[in-house]
Amino acid sequence: MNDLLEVEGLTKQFDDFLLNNLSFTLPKGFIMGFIGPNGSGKTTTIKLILNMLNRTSGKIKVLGLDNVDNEVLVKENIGGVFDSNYLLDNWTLIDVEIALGMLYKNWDKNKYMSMLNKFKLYPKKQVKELSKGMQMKLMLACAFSHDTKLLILDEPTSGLDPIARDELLDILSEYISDGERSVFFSTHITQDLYKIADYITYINNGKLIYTGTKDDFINNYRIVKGDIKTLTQEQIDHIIGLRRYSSGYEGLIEKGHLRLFKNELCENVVLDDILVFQSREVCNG
Amino acid sequence: MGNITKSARLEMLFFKTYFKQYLLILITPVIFAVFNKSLLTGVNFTMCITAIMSNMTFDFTEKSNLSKLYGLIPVKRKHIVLGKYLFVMILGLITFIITFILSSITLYFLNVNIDSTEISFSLFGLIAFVFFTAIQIPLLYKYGATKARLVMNIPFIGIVGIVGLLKLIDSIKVQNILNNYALFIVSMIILLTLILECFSMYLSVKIYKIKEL
Repeated sequence: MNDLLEVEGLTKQFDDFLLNNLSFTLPKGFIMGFIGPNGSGKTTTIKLILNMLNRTSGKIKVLGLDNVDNEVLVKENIGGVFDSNYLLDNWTLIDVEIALGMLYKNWDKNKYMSMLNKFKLYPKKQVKELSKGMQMKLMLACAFSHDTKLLILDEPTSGLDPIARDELLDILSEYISDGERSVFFSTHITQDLYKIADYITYINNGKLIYTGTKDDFINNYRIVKGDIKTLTQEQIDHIIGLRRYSSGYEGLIEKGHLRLFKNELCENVVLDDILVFQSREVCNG
Repeated sequence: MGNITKSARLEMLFFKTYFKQYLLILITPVIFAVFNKSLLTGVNFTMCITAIMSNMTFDFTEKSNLSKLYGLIPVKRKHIVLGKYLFVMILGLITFIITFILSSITLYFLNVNIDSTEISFSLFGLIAFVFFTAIQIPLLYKYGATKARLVMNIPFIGIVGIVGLLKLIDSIKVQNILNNYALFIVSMIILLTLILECFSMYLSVKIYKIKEL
């Protein structure tokens, strides 16, 4: 078994939103960035992986096991870090150890205490006394203390200062270093992914746009810039997202269509460009 | 059973937040015993407040966004629900024993005799606790603590109503009925409460299994 997480044809129908036929895989030993604008279905997907929502159709396997049929075993191997903490505010970090220690078979108290020490978290402090960055470290300490194979992070860096974000990225890189663990990292702060993500899964409005390596994703697109008056209908048809200025335009295109823009200025893209331009309609540019 | 116990212990850790208030509630029967010279009112009042408190965990589970914790932990939803019932039952039993003993000691020092009717009706407080929490819990699972706020007051309304009713009843008549049909009445009450509790558990498990967190 090479893939730690397999999602196949995942569909979830709400009254006002459809997560439609999502498929991707995350191999062992890698970090996948799960990106998309707000409301695109990232948290829904994570909740489906954690069986917090009932899927309409499709399959989810963690460590080769169905996440519903083998829920307990799957969750023994999943750790979670969210944008807000999932622990009781009044608990001390010792209470957290007592609570989670009795729930996980593989819980290692010594590891938890050493993680608290490493992250400079004082065991007698209450959860509510910790800063956002410290709460994130606490959630990581909890995840590492029951020997998780798959770490799921849902917007963990939102609200964190650059130093705490950088620390998190270092911790994640260290976490997967043995090649046996993976990280599924949902975020809309794409700068975080440059440093650590190996794979990208990009969804928009509940639909899968891309899944594959980060480098292929970025290499697949270019930004073209030129005079708006020279823009032909054929070029417009091949522009994914367009931004018009009084003096010209900027457009996102697939690399394969570069031949149509021979006379225009062409630039490499960053992840943000892809997200921003994908959400802009050409006609409204 | 292991996972149910773990889940019940988790509930206890949640309940720790209310522990000081709970200790205060435990001594209220002493006050009732001093002023009322009765076992019945204090014990039933405490059982009523404890029934409300026992379901406060629903309230802060919702407010503290603990659904993520429930989503992460390796415990089946069925066991989470049954753990909640186990916790509520243990809490009810402990409360009953402590308040009964405290009230009895207080009344002993006040030289007040406790008759068998009063003891029977105090036991009824424990049954009423189970009865009301059995009604509350599925509703709280279904609608959540915010939507079903009124549901949390069911024990208060119910037990106050019953105590009021008992005060109106002629105790000698009740004593006679109890003497004649004691076994039957007690058996029926216990049986019906057990059936209700089982049905409540079944319903809560069913609701929570398909609930989207």
